[in-house]
Amino acid sequence: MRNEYLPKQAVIEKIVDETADVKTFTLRVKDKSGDLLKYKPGQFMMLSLPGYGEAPFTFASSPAKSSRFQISVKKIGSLTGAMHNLKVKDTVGARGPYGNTFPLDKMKKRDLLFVAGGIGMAPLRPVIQQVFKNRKSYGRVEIVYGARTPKDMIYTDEVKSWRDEADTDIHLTVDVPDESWGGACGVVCVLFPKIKINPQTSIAVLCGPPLMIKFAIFDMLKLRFKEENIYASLERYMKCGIGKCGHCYVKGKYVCTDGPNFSYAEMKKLGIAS
Amino acid sequence: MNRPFITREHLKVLIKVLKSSCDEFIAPRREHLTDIVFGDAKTGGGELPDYDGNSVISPRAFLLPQTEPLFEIKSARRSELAPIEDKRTRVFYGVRPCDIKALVLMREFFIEREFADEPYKTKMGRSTFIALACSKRCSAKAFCDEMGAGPVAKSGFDLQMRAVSRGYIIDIGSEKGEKIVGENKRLFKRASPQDEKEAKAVLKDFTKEPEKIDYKKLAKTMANDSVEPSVWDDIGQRCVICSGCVTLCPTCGCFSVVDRISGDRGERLRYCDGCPYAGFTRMAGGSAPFPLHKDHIRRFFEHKLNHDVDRYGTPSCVGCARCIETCPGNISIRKLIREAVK
Amino acid sequence: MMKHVLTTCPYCGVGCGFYLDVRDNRIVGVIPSKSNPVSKGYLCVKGWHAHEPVQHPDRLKKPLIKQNGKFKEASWEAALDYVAKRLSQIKAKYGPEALAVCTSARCTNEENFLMMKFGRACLGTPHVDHCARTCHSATVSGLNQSFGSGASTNSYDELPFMDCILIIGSNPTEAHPIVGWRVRTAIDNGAKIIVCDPRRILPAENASIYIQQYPGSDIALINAMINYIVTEHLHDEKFIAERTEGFDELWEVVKDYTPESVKDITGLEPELIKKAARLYATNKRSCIMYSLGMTEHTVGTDNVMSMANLAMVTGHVGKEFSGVYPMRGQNNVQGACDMGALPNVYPGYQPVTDEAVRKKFEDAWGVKLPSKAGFTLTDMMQKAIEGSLKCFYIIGEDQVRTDPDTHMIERALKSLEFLIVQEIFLSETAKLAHVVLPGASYAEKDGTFTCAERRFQRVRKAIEPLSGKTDGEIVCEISRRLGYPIDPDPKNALDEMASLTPIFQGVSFERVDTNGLQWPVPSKGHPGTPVVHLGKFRRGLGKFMPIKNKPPAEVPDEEYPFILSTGRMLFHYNTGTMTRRVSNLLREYPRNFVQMNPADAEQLGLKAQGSRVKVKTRRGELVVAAEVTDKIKKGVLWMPFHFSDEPTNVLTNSAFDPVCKIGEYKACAAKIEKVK
Repeated sequence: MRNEYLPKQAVIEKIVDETADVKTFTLRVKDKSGDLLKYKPGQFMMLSLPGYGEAPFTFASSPAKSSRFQISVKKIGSLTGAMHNLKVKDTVGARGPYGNTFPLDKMKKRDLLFVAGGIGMAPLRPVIQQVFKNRKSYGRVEIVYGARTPKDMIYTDEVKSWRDEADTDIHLTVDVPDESWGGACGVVCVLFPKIKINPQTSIAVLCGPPLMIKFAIFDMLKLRFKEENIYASLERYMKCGIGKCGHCYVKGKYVCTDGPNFSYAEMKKLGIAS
Repeated sequence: MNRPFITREHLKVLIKVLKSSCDEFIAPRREHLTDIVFGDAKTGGGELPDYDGNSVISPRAFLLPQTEPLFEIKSARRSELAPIEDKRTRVFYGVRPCDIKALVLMREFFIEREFADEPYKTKMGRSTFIALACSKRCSAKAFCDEMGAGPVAKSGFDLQMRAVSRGYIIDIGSEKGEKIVGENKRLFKRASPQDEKEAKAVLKDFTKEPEKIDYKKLAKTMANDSVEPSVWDDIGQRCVICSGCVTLCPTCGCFSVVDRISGDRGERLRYCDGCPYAGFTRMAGGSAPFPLHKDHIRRFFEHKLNHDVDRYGTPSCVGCARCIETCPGNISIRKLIREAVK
Repeated sequence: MMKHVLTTCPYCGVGCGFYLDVRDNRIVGVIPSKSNPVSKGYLCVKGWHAHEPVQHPDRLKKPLIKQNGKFKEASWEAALDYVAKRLSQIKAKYGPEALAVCTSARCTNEENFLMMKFGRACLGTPHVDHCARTCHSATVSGLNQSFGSGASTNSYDELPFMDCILIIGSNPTEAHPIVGWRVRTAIDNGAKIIVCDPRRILPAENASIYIQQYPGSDIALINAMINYIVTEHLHDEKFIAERTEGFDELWEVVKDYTPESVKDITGLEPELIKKAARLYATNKRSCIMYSLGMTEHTVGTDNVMSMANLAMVTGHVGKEFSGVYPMRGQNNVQGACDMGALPNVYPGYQPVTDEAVRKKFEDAWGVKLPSKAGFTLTDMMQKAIEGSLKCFYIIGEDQVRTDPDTHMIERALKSLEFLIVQEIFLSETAKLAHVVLPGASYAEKDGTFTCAERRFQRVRKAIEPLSGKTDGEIVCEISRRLGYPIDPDPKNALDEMASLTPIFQGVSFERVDTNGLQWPVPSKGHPGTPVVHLGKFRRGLGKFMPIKNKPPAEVPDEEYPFILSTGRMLFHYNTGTMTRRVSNLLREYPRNFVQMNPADAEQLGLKAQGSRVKVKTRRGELVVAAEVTDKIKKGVLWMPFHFSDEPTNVLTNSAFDPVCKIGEYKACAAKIEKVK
């Protein structure tokens, strides 16, 4: 019997404080059998903290042959709050991988636009890493990253290092700047005029708060991105990850198994695009 | 060749045989006054070989209980978990066709998709289903015939019994059912043409004026958002979030999980959850993709009457009327259907 | 092992019936009973989840004795011996009147009878009371004076067939949902509904008339209705002449209350009052439904008698399809009152000061009994602070969270020499105890509850008590140790109670078993009484009580410009010790909040729903989220009281009704500030 609900033990190997309320955990799976480590960019896993429950987190690391993976956790509720109190060598439960992947094949040979807001950079990180790993297979890469304040940006060093990649540009913006901030201010859309790709043939991938997604898509459509070429990673309340518990159900689809990554064309059909 | 047939006397013997073949014999029993509830009759007895009406709650409650441990937490601190497996074999006796159809839909959904729900699948695999076709409508509000779920089950059972005056005509629905008949040959005869005639008359009687619902049209009406907005407004105002509909509906399978810990040990429970609650879709941090109450209830109805028609080719309402008869807001899915296809 | 145990819901006073689905000693679910005469297969969200708290890991399973400020688990023997020793020491030192027993509206009738008997016969104290003090004591005292019986006059099943239902200070949808279902059905059947409530509650959406009066202006409103009814000759002169007394005295007071004259007090247009009065008076089948919105005032008793006046003026009482329905708050608050867990009466409301009654109980119990009425719960707190009360034995109640003015209650309980609390979870009150005794939940005992329509219903044991003992057994064990053995068997307790009580003569487990039994049941074969006062009021003639409007003890002023009212919501129950341990219920409403009108929110400069605000009264302050809604009247704030960690009752006023000593939860002066 393979009880999908029964998580496996994973040991915390490393904890990085990304911001005041975001930590990145490197987890090592004790028992390497099973599919958990066979994840692909865009997929998620269910993280268990017995006593607090379970919640979905998108893999923030690239699939590799090691028994490790990373997730970034923002402190929001009781489970994530408890996560933030954990220490290296503590054990948690993990199961997965679940959900669909970003359309890496479809993205090949095309120009790409990545738009992330705050912790929304976590799901995009593995796909961006994948792209740079096979740099020649993809066209120009534009990355737009927005956060509330400069201190709310995650993976800052790595994001900076992406500037060194060929034919790539990074654009940063914040809602509320501090003294050290020299970059742009405002929502991510303010940076769209700087993007040097052809919207009609490019693919855009977004992840961030619902409002950011809403306005970014609105502007992208104005730039003539195609509906079927805009992809967003959706967040929903979910308890099982395998299309049973019903929380993430929308119009016959389950965000956990049919998503969490949908094109805007699909989102429109589900009535979840605004 | 005519179908197998069993007399009432022989049925009692068959029940005895079946009881000895399983760990739990889940059969309808009369509880207080007129209440009928499925329970284990293997040791306690009290099963009703035949009965009018239907059980307050569908016997599915034994496959997906209102609360059920998913696994044991041996150490919360170390995330040491141990599976809990229900190894009991069960014979479900006297299950109504509407509940049988619900089990068919549950199988599609809970077992035969990309991931199987293991606890449910395990229990299903160890269960035998003996259906009892309806001779009378179980309540004035029931409309199984309109939903194509009764009074006789088309599939999903191992054996089905249809009452006639001499006894019961038997439908065999699976190899398991075949085996039961085969192993108890001495108890079965063949139905006579008179029995078959009688069975047909019962069926005709049941659906005197069948008002078949064009559920494709219904689904389309819903998909096109052409149900009168006032219908949803009214439903939203009537629903007082008792959660009775989602608890009693034999095709509602939504659940939530919670950990119950005492010291370092405990268990992860899953429990019945569903559309009516605002918290069902609200995310950590408080943002709600469906802020309006009426949309929560609409989702309940649209899932059953629109999306599932798309997915399974049949609505996942079986017309058992349990939700109607337990709704303190007097919401009726049947009335909604009528208003929608009007 | 698998069984279905039919029992009665442990939450509100409606009294729904369901089966507990028990498998291998685990209660896995709730199955409604369609044959139950009260609930007929319907349940509310709390009932559907009533199984969840029973086996929650937080349940107390072992007695706790406080040593050096910390609780230590103890054996039953040790704890009970210790309790008995301390009780006899305190009794010996200060006399029996230094002791008080607070019984529980959550426990069964039999247990309340045993606790009451333990208090009076074993301890010898007159001070026995329970939490009805804080909910419907005004009903008991008010309806008793008007009609001669302090309970609901009619039955639930008449409601769907009413022509007109006047709902005042009651929110049946949320607080009594299965009565709410009957109101819904009445609406669907075409009944006219009049809702009078400072909040536009759900029934108001379908009401013919919605009246949004200020909290605490109810007498003015009702008197104005009576005034208009009489002025327009819509009153029932025949009924008044034949069935009542004191009409002239009533009119002497009410004649000044024209609808126009109460405009400022109530905040209502006179036309609205007139329309409501006409609707209620002219419909044939009219009834009044009320709840704590009327009773929890310093004028609680007066409010109740005003409604009795209105019912009698129009002849809408004392017959089928009419009457006054007090919606009782707790599963067995009716029963706890009935069992004499009140300081002034024995079971069946037989006065403790009546010598013949006392003699009857003395003969039956073989002891001398206190000859005077004891302190009410409200007085007990005061007496504890003053120092004349030294010891409380509190069963199944969390005064710290439920009584008004939390800080005062804490002071009272802390000044006791000895506090025993019997509870199923470690409540805030239990935390202050010297000894905590782990009680049993409804699912662990046999007995009866009495619901708001005076119906005795069976409670049946589904699992063994987690702590090993039921509440009745615990009390009896203490009594035995004090040299006064009492038989804890619930069946025998009920029989004993019935034999001593005229109105319960015919009550027994056997009679209650099938369909319950509605009291009065004055003889063994009596079928029970669905409608009281038929043909004749219990007191003979119905008594009109002339009542003048009095403002709440605390009214808004410049410093505290808002009226704060409190109440119950659908998803939680009282202090939430049970409902906050049900995942789905907690998830719907995990935290406290304050409702306020959009105009008030705008004035305060609140931008977003859920902004944090500080609510302040002269007694305390609390920071909660603001729920801005036009369902509440401008100038009025409303808060639920279910959240133990954000306790609303630090704000409420402990001013009380002089007759029944109920606290004024429903109106006090408050101010509100934005939190940055």
